[in-house]
Amino acid sequence: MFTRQFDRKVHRAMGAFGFAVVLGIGYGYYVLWPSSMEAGYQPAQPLAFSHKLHAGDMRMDCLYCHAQAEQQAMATVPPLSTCMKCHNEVQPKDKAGQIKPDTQLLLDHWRRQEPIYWQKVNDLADFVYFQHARHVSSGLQCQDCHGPVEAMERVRRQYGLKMSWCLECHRQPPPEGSHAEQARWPTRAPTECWTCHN
Amino acid sequence: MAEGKEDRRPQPPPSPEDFRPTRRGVLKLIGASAALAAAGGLTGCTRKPRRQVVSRPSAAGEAPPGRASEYASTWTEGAHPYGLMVTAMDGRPIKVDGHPAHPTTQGGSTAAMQASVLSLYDPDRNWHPQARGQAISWPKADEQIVAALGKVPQVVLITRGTLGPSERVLVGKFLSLVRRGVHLVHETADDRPRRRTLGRLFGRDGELAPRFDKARVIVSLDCDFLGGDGVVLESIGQFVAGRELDGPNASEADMSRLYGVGSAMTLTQSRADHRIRMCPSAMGPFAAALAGLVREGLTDAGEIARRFGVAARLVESMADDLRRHRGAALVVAGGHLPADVHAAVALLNDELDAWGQTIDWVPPVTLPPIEPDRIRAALTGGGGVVICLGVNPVYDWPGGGEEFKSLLAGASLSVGHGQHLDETLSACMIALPSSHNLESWNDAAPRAGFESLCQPLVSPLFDTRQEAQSLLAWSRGLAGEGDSIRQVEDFHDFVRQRWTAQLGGVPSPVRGTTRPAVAVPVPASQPVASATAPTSSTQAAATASSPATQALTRYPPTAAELAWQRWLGAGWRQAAAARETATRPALDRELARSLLPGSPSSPALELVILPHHAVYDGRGSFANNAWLQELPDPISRAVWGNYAAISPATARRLGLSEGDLSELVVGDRVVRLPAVIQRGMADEVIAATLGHGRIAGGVVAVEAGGVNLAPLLGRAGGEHLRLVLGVTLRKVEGASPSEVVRTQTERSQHDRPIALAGTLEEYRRDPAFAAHRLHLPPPVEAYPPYDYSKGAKWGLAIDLSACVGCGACATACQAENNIAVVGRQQCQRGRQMHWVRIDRYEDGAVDEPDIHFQPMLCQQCDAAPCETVCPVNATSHSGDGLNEMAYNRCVGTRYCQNNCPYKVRRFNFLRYGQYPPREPAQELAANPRVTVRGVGVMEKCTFCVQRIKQARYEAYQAGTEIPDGRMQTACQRACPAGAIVFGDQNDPASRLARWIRSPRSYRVLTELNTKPNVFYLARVDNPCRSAGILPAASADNKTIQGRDGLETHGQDAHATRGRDARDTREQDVLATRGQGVHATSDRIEPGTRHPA
Repeated sequence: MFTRQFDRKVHRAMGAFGFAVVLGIGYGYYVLWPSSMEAGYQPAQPLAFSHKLHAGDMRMDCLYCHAQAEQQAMATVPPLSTCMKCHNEVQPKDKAGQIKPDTQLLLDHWRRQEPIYWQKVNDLADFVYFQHARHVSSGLQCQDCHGPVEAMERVRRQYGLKMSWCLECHRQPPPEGSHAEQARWPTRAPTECWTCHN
Repeated sequence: MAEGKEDRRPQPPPSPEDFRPTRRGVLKLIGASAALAAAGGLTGCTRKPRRQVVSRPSAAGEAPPGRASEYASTWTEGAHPYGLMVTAMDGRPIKVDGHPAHPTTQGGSTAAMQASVLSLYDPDRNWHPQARGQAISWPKADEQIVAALGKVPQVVLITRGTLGPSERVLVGKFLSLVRRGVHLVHETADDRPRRRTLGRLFGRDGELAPRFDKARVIVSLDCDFLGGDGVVLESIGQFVAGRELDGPNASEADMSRLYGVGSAMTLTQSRADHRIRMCPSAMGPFAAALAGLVREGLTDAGEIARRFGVAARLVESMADDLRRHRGAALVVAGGHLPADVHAAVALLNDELDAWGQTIDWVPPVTLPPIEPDRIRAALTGGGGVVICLGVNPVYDWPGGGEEFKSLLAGASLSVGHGQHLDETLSACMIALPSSHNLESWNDAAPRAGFESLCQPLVSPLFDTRQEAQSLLAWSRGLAGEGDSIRQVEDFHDFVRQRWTAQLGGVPSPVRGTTRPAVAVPVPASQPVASATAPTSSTQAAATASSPATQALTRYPPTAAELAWQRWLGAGWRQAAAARETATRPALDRELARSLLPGSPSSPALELVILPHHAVYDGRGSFANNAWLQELPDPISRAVWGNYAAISPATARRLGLSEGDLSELVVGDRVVRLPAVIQRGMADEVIAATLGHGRIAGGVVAVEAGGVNLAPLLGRAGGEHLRLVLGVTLRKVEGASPSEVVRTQTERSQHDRPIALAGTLEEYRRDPAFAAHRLHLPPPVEAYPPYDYSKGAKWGLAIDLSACVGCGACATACQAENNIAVVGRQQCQRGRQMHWVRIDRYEDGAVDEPDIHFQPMLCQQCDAAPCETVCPVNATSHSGDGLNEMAYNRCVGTRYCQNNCPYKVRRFNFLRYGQYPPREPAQELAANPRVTVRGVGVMEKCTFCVQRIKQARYEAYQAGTEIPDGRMQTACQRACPAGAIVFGDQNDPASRLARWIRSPRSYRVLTELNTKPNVFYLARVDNPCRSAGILPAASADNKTIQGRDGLETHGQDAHATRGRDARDTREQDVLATRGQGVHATSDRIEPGTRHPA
């Protein structure tokens, strides 16, 4: 129908287009892969709550605020009323005698009864059904998965929380001197698909 | 706000053309993805959105995220109120089940109940009030309506018959405030001829409450008590209880016997031990003749048999059975049948000493429906205000909605109040949105003697208001100063005040008296056992602001208040002093005899209009529910639409074949719908269902198609709306056949032992009859067996003797496991997503098919053929015997589906989850514990593994094993017949292990050595030995099988099966029906009718 040269041009154009599409899709995947799924993700929060101060210096128990971690699938973030248990009284002031801005922010939210929307740091995919309580009651420390949160000014994702990482523990007891103690390590954690996915 | 309606309405659903990849579409997609990739680099948008967690101001009164809690309520959307146990999670209801302790519900549920959670989140619901097509605020609407109500000479209020006790009081109050108020009840699928006749015979309006568990012999005259006639959940439970076989001694086993005299093929007819096919018009004379036989002995059974075209032995044994079981026999007649049948049945029950023993008279639950003529008369004057509350007469007005529309047009103001912008609301000047059952306060009296409460599980999702709330608002607007109604803020207050006043033994403030001065204090330490659902902040605010409620919620609470709280937590309560009202009045025998029919007349074809098995009468929340539209008809397995069912002989006579477009003519009304040839139906009868042919009221309702049969309702005159005599049916020449979409086209088991059944005699002789029919598996072990010795090994058993085939399990599974619907076109291509399907087999004679139901789900095989073929290991085996499916691993090769001998794996070919178009509201219906699967992924039954995990975790926390019965699958929980049991096979004391040890237990396709973990208990029927006749077909031993299974080819239908001489299964089929002797003299010629 067309001349051979024209055909060749068409073929070349199609080849170039195909290559561009492959490149584009690859680039898209590269760019679109969410950083929030990687270790090291450390988003800014609307209120600069310091875990280092509360959990580290003040030595508050994680479960004081994340109260459901022992009983529920979700650890949950505390309601503002939990913060106000202390901050009704404890309202640190700066040198000028003003309440510190982040505390003020909390008090403002509380006064207006407005919720605070935190950026989720340790976020699992929707097809993973993780049970906090099962792990906490097996004797795992929060730090085993979340890292040394008590030392973090702003919370950082310590581990990528990939399936292979989960399976490292589920498949075998941890090696000597690991972050978890041998004695409280469960004898056999299940590795069946429906343990976490259903 | 003016154009708000257009904006918020959902877009039309994607047609299959939208899904089909076209060249243009593919190129567009490639271009778009490349553009998106480029844009992604620039804008930094992420594939997975960064998510947020919320610190709410206060967590008081809220369940923590991810924890499910159950609340008792009442289902008031259907024809009969049932008790509900609603599971709420994250502040919203996600699953609905039957209330386990509720007397009529007993833990079971219907498909419509299960589906009500989807209709709550239906984005097609009416979102806000409208006046003449323009959005309007509630106060404005109320203002207009109250102004009109005060002026007009007449107010007509049209409601459903299922108003609760408080709603009825409120209606009375409302009508007393307007000038000449009329309350009319509009229903189409009700049992009005039966109720009217009973009312006349007993001198008092009432209903019959049969006790199927107490009866040893049951005769049903076209009464589908297992399907849609009466209090279905109660009937199923009782029927199954009366056929229980789990005695220690099989040789002494006994069960009730069901004679099904029927026209249409219904669930009840399919379970009948003996089926007599008969025109509805002949049933009155037949019942009268049967009463005579029972009274006077078997003198003229042969004569009667000839008159009605029934095998003489069958009539003899039926009458004999009834005589021998006086006091333990029961006759019921369908609610659509004319008065003479009910008079004859009342006399027959009288003869059988059934009253008070096997059948009870009870005060009515619903309001008596008003004849269309009276509604017409009330509306004809015009000039008044017409208020339609939750009814849709423009759609289902007997004779056609156009007439009602013109009646509406004559009113000075017409107000429609409904969940959807349906035919009626579109025709009304003011269209008001109603709240859903799960957003409303209400009460119900499902039976005399107990009362149940309905509490909201979520605040109204849209700007809606429950109908009673509107009535209350208008009453408040109309009432003068000082009227006590003005102190009642909302309907919650109304219900609560009414009941706390009654519980406290003082008159209700609604009647104009004040609250009690003396309250009974209770110790402060007494716990308040209540589970009050979280209600909306607005509702809570309204409640708190009400002075009356403030008085009620004072501390310490009064005894009445505590009783209310307990009742609300329990959901239902036994009412005091209800006994005497339930005393049965005397039957007026003289009047009954005077109503008895003469000889049967045979005018022409008879049309029986039945409520649809899923969408009932097509009310908004049912018709616009894709789960219900896609639930296959139990017998025909048809989905999405309706049809005219006729018997093979009638089809032959009329020259109709399957799918032919046919014309139903009654007088001047013509309705066109496809013909379906249904075995087991009476000849010269057409059966069709209500509920389709909607032209407004939501995407699904309209898309479902089908034809509205309301124009034919009651056309032949008389009070029997749903039985039309003198119908003409003819083929529409030249019209292309419109296919009836079925999910199962195969009818025969091809003599393989799949759904097994035997007779009671056979069972007594050899309890393990089913196992003896199985093919033995080859002694080959292709793979090493799994070790299940540690921990549990899950299994499921289904009692086919109990299963009535209703399909509640399929819908429950859909609700629990986020199963998508595929839509009409995809169903037409043989695709569906149900994890549990009910296989229906029609083996046996052409006119007397043996109907078998078999719920078929993933068999969780020990040697699963699917596991070995998966190239990516997406399906694997777990240590507790489950066949796991990891959706994220699946690449969609469908090898597993191909290799599954049970055909239970479902593949999401297109974006099925997107149909009907998903809106944010609809996403809320999903169970948060189960992954929502996407396109290109295989899925199947998981034995509700999320529930197993929850139970296992709870047991772990408690330091125990999972107690038997703690873990119930969704299908098991929903089954009204208790036919499904889940449990641990390793625990010999478990209920499952007991069922597996039953001699009736067998597994399907054992010869393939798949070692399934789903066990079936063979069905046992109880045919009468002496009756041993199958009319007509079996006398010739005519049995047709084959893929089409349609006996529409004229004389071809008489062809005998080639193999039956050497076919053992065939003898089993005959034995199943107690078939010993063939009496050719009792044959009925196909196509002939009973003589006049």
